[in-house]
Amino acid sequence: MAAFAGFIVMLPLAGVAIAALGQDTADIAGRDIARYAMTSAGLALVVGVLTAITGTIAAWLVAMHRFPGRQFFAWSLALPLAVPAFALAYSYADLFDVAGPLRTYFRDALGFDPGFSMRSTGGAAFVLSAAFYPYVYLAMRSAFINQSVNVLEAAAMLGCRGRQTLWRVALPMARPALVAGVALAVMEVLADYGAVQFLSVQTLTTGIVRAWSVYGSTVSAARFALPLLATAAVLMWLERASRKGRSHETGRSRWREIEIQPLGHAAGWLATFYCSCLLTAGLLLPIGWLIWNLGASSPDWGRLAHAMQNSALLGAAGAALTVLLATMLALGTRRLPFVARLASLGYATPGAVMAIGLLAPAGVIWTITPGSGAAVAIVLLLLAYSARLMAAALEPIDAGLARVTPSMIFAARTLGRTETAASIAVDLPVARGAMLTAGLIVFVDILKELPATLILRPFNFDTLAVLANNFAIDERLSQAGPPSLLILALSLPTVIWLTRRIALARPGT
Amino acid sequence: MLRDVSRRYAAREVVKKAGFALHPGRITCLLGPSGCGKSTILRMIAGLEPVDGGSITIHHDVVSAPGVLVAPEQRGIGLVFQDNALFPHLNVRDNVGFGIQSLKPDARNALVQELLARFHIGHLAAEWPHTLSGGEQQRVAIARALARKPVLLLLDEPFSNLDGHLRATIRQALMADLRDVGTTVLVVTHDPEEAMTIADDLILMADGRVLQTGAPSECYDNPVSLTAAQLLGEAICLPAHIKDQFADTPFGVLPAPGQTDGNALLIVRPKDVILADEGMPVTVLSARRFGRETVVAVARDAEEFAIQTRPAELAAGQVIHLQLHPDIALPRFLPCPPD
Repeated sequence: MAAFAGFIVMLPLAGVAIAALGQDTADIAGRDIARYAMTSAGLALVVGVLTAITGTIAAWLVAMHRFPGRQFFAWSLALPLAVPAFALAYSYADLFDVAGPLRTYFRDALGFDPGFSMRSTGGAAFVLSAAFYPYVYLAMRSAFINQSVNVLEAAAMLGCRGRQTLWRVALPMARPALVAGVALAVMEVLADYGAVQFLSVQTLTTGIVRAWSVYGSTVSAARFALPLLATAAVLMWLERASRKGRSHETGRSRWREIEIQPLGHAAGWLATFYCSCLLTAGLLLPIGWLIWNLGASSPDWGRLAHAMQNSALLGAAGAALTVLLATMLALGTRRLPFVARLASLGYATPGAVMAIGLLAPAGVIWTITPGSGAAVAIVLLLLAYSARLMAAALEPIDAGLARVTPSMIFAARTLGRTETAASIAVDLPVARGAMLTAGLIVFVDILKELPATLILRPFNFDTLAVLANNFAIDERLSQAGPPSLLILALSLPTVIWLTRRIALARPGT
Repeated sequence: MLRDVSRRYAAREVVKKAGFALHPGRITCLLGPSGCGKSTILRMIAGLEPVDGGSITIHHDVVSAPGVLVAPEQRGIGLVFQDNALFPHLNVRDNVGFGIQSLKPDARNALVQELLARFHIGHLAAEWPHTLSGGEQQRVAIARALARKPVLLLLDEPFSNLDGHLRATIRQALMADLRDVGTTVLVVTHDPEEAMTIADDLILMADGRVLQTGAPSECYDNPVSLTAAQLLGEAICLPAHIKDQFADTPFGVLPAPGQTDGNALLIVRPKDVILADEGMPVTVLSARRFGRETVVAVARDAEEFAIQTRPAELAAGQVIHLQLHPDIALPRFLPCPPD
């Protein structure tokens, strides 16, 4: 069973490697691949640094200090996770357009033009940082909260105070979490298609989609995918390696809640201002602008409703399949940890790469059964989602199953259950909450997913993300707003529930 | 019921031809130091691990042998883990009822109630495991194991997680309740005091081998080897030479009926020596008073050991004389290990 789940994940990865070996039909020079790769790398670097700084500061403030609005920011700072990055890109590009409201205002009121366009690598870095800083924020916040008070008190006794504690104790101890959080943000940057494509920044991922859609060449697409796959493996390894040290991060012996430092009046409001800025940049401003512009369009409600239904169904089916496979994998890999590590590779792999990898096996099926087009495409799409999001689901499920000690399973066996029955009676109920969490995470990610959906979807099968992308490509921005906002409407309640749950979680609960 | 059972992990043989039988309705303690293989034996009896050699039989049925492994759920053996392994998603009542799903709900509830009452945890029926104290969790775990009316109940280091001063009380009460139930019980422990207190029968183990079986007092007074003697508490080991039923020892000539002539070891417990004006001379290293006793660390040539005596003013460096307690009628000798 676990082997089957592992196979599902490995299939597209192997597909990419095999496809890349094929005879090239599109004439894409190695030079272009190198140029796209440089852009991807530059973008990843800038976003990595930006998210590391902004996310860490936010986490440090929220986890260890008291200031106005702290409780609210604790969970709301993670909300940008509900917003697809391409929606941010549409909104910011429009806001900062030469004829857009911000620059018009500056020209009229102040007599100068800031001259900053979002349609640049710098702009893309800003948009993606605003979208992905929550990964660093969540990782660091949990690291700060979990650190042992004893260590902080020991630091205080040795003369370390305030910011010194951050630099000399808390930050070094939280370094594994920082690496993990930044690795996740960078993976998302490399996987992003919708935002960079709209901002006219050519990355490896846009290269993949273009090679496939414009030149119709799976081989070229696969060649763009190979460096991404390699990077994904490195990132995954980094993330895993950083996690190995985590047991140092939490004081295993006894856990006491951190003393929260009250900030002074001015400093407190400064902290509030900082957190508000992050939330504004990642959620309020861009989404507000999309909502503001709703009036300018007359959306095709029938088409939207249909796309929303498709998105919700794909999300639900994909979540169910992924959780099922991930649970099998988690139960099976108690004995085969290597398979789980392989499966995690999928998470770092961009959806576009997954899709390209699945095109080759799909071609075989389509040749054998020509009539099965749409159904096979949907199944492949679900497989691509599962392969891509397996690790995201695996992590909470693994954590949930960790509450089941080996002796509990042995106890169930001596109490008359067979191996399978013991697993059903103990493992599944204990991990139930974790499975729900995993399902919701996958659901939200599928709603936001664009490149794999674009490549694998059946003809005329629209999801909200595809619809938004199609309108945006045609520069019908006001019309790209409604589908983007509908994605938010579907994902926001889920993300609020998830982040509140994560934000309120304390060790030992 | 165990015959020449062996178990190896990779190259290391952790259980070496161990064998013993358990007597129905009695409480047996398997005593040995950490890592001697006693927990492995427990897991092999429960069917959680196969045997690499020998066999395990229950009522003349072979349940474990090389190539034979009756599944744990089909053995009718209850096992209580060191960490109790209560299911966190079930309350106390459902934990206890977990193993008897085949019963009708009425019968099941009645049995659960009866067990909870018997172990004095009836008031906790609706509680969740994490809200219970260690002692309460243990009672739940034992009630859960007993619900299936096992032919044998295995307890793995049952009292090691309890606090010192509570331990003796809880142990006494729990073992009394278990005795009332009348099940055959095998307790694994590394605590000699615990074993001596609760066991009807004792099995001494070291390094994967069974050293000795028998009544606790018999094992204490007549250890078969120095290791066996040391398992049950401190043992002082002194050279002796036996000739014609008498032994020449540092305490003087002592009777040694039935002993073979030649070099031997005299085994003495720290409580079995007294201070005297003459006898074996030793040098005091340190003396420490614990209530009504004084523990004195002494050196005899290169050998150091501790003795327990009545309170006395002793200074380090002082030479004192020891004699065997007059109550010791027959001192214990062991043949010299061939070294």
